[in-house]
Formats: sequence, structure tokens, C-alpha cells
Amino acid sequence: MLRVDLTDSEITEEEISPEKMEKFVGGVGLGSSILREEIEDEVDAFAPENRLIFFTGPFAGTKVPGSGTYSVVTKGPLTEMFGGAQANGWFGARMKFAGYDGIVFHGKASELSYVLVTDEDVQIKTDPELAGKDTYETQEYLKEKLAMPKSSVACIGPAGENEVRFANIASDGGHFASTNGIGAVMGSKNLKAVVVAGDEGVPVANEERFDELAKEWQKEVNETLMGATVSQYGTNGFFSAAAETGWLPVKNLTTDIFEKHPEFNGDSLREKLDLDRTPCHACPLEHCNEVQLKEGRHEGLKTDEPEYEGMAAFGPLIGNDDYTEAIYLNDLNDRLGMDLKEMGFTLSLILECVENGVLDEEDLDGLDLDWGDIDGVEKLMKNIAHREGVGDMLAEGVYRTAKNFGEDALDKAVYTHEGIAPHIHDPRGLWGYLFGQTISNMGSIEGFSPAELVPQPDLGMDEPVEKYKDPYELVEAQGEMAKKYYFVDNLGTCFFTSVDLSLMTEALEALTGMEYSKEEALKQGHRTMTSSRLLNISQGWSKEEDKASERLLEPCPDGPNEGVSIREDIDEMVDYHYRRMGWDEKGHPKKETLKELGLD
Amino acid sequence: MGRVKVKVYQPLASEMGREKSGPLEFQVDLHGEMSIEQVLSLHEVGEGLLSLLKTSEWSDNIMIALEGEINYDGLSAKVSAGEEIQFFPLYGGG
Repeated sequence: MLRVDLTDSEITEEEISPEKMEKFVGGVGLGSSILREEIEDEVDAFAPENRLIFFTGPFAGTKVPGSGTYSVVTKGPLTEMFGGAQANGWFGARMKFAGYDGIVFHGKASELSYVLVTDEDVQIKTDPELAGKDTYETQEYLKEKLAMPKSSVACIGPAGENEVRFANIASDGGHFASTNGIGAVMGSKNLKAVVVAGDEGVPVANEERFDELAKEWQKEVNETLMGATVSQYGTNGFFSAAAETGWLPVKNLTTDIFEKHPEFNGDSLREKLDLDRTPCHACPLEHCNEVQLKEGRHEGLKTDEPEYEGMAAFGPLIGNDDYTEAIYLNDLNDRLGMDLKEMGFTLSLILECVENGVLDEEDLDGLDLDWGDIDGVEKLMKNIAHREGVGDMLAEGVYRTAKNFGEDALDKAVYTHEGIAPHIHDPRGLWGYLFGQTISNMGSIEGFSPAELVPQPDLGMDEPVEKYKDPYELVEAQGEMAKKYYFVDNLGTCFFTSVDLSLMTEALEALTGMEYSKEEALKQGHRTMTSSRLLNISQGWSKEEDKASERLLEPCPDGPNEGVSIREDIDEMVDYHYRRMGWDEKGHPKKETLKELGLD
Repeated sequence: MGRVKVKVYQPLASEMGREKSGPLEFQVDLHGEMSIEQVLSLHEVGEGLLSLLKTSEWSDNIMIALEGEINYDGLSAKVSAGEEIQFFPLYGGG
């Protein structure tokens, strides 16, 4: 592992003990463990003492599908607690090829800097030309300047430089580690980019067996319809399913009906766009593309194809029904380097507040906004990234913005009490999503998928949990899924290529030579979750954070989930989750739980 | 006597021969209340769909909805005239 002190320009190498590797595996597990050891209680997210930690997992750079993934861990400025995010692509594999499992940054550089990590050398460099460059420009500029086309660059855009509280980190084109303002922390350290490259191989304990299992893994990924849909149509292949079953977010959740969904669905989109495949490391799905618009105001625009959440955030959520404009705004947001979840729900809050007279032109620097006003939204986004005018306030994210505008805005805002926007869904009709987001330790969804949609045979759930029937059954399912996906987050592989736990643990055994059962994997996931909770408690967490905003408790206004609300059930669901995880009624892990998980 | 509308979304639709974007759609006449399986067996295209859904590749990865409501009873769920049956790819999250 590398340690980079940006204040004193000191670079050191450290060994991670085998015991620690076995206990925390990699990714957010190892990252959060190191973060918990090294930051003081209630440290400021923007203080030089905060850590910014990049970690791969054990599979990084191997033949296992989607093994270019890496995690970034820090104290996030939105929740002012643990922030953990993943990005796919190549960066994780190339960091491993450079010879490192992780990099811990601390301190603050005196000038805007970048760090070059290769298998021969590690250097901290400064370059004033980097200031103000967007995320795509930064990646292209550094690759060309260093003459390293086979490198990966993780960088921030103008939003990160300006410490926008929801700035993110871009890498390998349009891949983002996005949640909880990790790019703002990078900006606070005057760190514009990290470049990684190398040729070192990844040691494998049992190569023959590992190759067999990697092939089996590839085959299993290809055989699922999730895989087939993602491969053929991208994640927008599910756009119509979201719209028709009532969990597509429309106009800040004031409705769940969006008639133009067929034009946003992946099959239609890919007919209308020019595509050029840009696959991630070892990925059989190859769903990532550079696309070019063939019609509309921005005809000719080349950009990475937006994922479902990007099309939903800059489409129905802000009242825009033109797919070309959604692609344009997604590209702008990516270039500026901001989390689209926070951006989407901040914009939609403002638009609803304008419609209802809570805000007017005077509050918004003279902008006369309306649903689907692309030019107005574009101006707001640029102002946010540069913290200009009202953009300076909106750059604080949806919760802080609403709080500033008063009770009427707070009632309309979509956030959890940790202070962060949820993923781009209307989760009121899918309680697995809403519950998983409400109890989140790192700002994203615990369990990743909603248990009402996805069966988990490897967890003993051959059928999905029936909606609204038994909230306790949903808590049980979501809790077990959370354990599984914490473990997956630690492996250094992409969610879309995750497979049966038994296959993943067998491959881990063949790779490392260590014994690893499915039960140990789930225990490891539980350990990471509980360790994250301990980290949050040290930063001032209380049970009040495990709540959803008023808008998220309101009944769905229309569509197939009309009238449904989690309000009456959510508190008991949270309490039941605490009991199942071995935490007390305040949400603090019990002593016996810590002992069982080796965290005492 | 009435009709049930069936919409089969991609990529299942292309597996059934649809070459363009958008769902494959067809309608079936029915009397009273019937199961989805019975409804599909009354139509040539529906029979093809039933055969596909009996393979694990598709049966494990399809979400069936009635009027937009996720259906947990699979092909045995009951439908009535005027309703719409939808077959979506199963969303895994994200």
C-alpha cells in the first residue's frame, strides 16, 4: 500500500498484514478500517487530517469479469460521515499492475497537484495548466502530456476544485466514484488527479483452478437476462420497466407518470445513437459505449453513454422529455464532475419550489425557471460547479439547500436525514430501496438491489419478497443482501458481474490460497457494515440519521403504487434491522457483536 | 367476452422475432377470469412466449406485471378482460 503525505510531499510504502487482508479483504472494507484507525473523532471532512483512500480488491486486474473496479473511501462532506464509492473501468486493474492494492492520501498540497504511480516510480507533480479543466479534458491532457495512452487517470473537475459538496471523481472516461462528495475532499487536498500504469502481473495461488472458475464466472454473467439486457441496451434497457411499474422519479416525485419513457428506453436510444464500445477491464458484457447524437440541438456531441440514473435525473426528474437534452445535461454534469443523484434532486427541488411559489426569480439570480427548462438548468449547473451566485448555496446539496430556504422547501426535498439524496428512483413504491437508503452507512443503498424485485438463491431466497406484504421479511432480505454486497464491494469487481456467492468465494480461494466459505463471506460483509457504523458513531452519528425526509414518507401520488406509504412501518423496520445486526436500540453495535466479528 | 393486451419488452421481444425497438404487442380474447398461462395458450405468439418462459434462461430473469403492478404469482396469476400483462427484463439494481 502507498501512503502519500501531500503536505510534506512524502511517499512511503507500507505492508498490510495478511491477518488484516483476510479480515477486511479489500475495497471499502480495508479502506474504512484504515480510515477508522487514522482519523480523529468528528474531524472536518475538508481538513488536511482527513484521509482519501483508493483501494482495489483481491480480484483487481485478474481474468474475473469486471475486475477493473476500485473503491474510494473518506469522511464525506455531505453526510459528514463515512463516504464510500466505487467506479468501474480500468483504474483498479492498472493500480494493481503498478504494484499497489491501495493508496492513502493525507495532508494538503501547497499547489494544485497530481500523483503519478507506475511500477517504476511514484511522484507528486504540479501543473498550473490543470486548473479549471473538466474531467474529460484532464484525462486527455495528462495522458497526452505523459505519453501514457495505457494509463488510467482518476481526477476531479471544476466542482471538485471548488469543493462543491457533492463533487465526484472521474476515471476511464465517464466512469465515476460519485457518492458523498469524495471529489470535494480530493479538491480540498489540492489533488487534481491520480495517474496509474504498470505491467506487473497479479499472483495467483492456483492458476489452473482460478482460470476454470474465471471462465465459469464469465459464462454465468453472460447467461443472465440482466446481463443480456445490460449488454444489448445498457442500464437504460430497464427504463420502461421503471416507468410502467411506478418507480421512475418524475418532477421531484410529484407524479410517477412519464409518457415519453419509450424514447428513453435503451432499445430505442441505441437505435438513434452512433455507438463505439468502450469495455471495462475483463468485462464480457461490454455495455459501456461512447455515443454520438445524430439529431437535436446538440447533434454531433460525443460523450459516454449515460446510465439509467443519468437519463432519469436529467429527463423525467426535472420535467424534461427530450432524450437528446438529457444526454447533453448528463455530459455537462460529468464534465463538471458532480454526483448526478445530488444534482438531480437539488434541481428538481428548485423547480418544484418555483412552480409552487416558494422561490422566485429574486431567489435565483433572476432566472425564470420551469420544468424542463434546459437553458435555465444548464446555467444553474455551471453556477453550482463554480459556486457563483445562488449556485454557491446549491453546491451544498439538496438537504442544506432546502434547510436554507425554509420549512416549505424541506417538506418537498428528497433526502435521508444523513443529509444526502437517494439514488434516482421513486423508492416509495419499492421499499427495499427506500429502507436500504434510509439505513445506509456510506450514503448509498444497503443491499444494492430492492428485495422485492430480485431473488437471491445463494441467500436462500428463491423468490423476491412480495411488496408491502411483510415489512419484517423485507428487512431480513435486505439485511442479508447488504452483507453480501458489502463483501462484493470489497472484492474489486463490478456489481453487474457479481454472481453466486459460492462461485465468488471458490475463486477467492483459488486466487489467494486461503480458505473462504460463503458463510465467512457473509460474516465479512457484516463486519464491514458494522465497522462502517462504528466509524460513523465516532463522527457523531445518532439514530436520527436513519430516517427519510417527509417527501419520501408521503404516499405515491399516482400510478400503480398510488396511495402506498412506508410511514407507519419504517421506524419498526429500522429497529428490527438493528436487532438482526446485533446492535442495540440506539443503533450501536453490542459488545458481543463486536467480539464475534473481531472488532473488539 | 373481452380482450387482454400483452406487451413483451426487449430483449425478450427480439428473441421472439421483433426486429425493431419497442415492445412486442398482441391481444387475446377471453371469457371471464383466466390465468396468464391460459391466456397465452390461446394465441400463436403467446404459445411461443410460453415455450420461452419454460426455459430457465428466461423464466429466472423475467418480471411479470399486471397493469404495472409487479405480480408474484407468475403464470398462474388471474387476469380479466381490459387488463394489460407486461413482461419486463428483471432489473438487478443500480
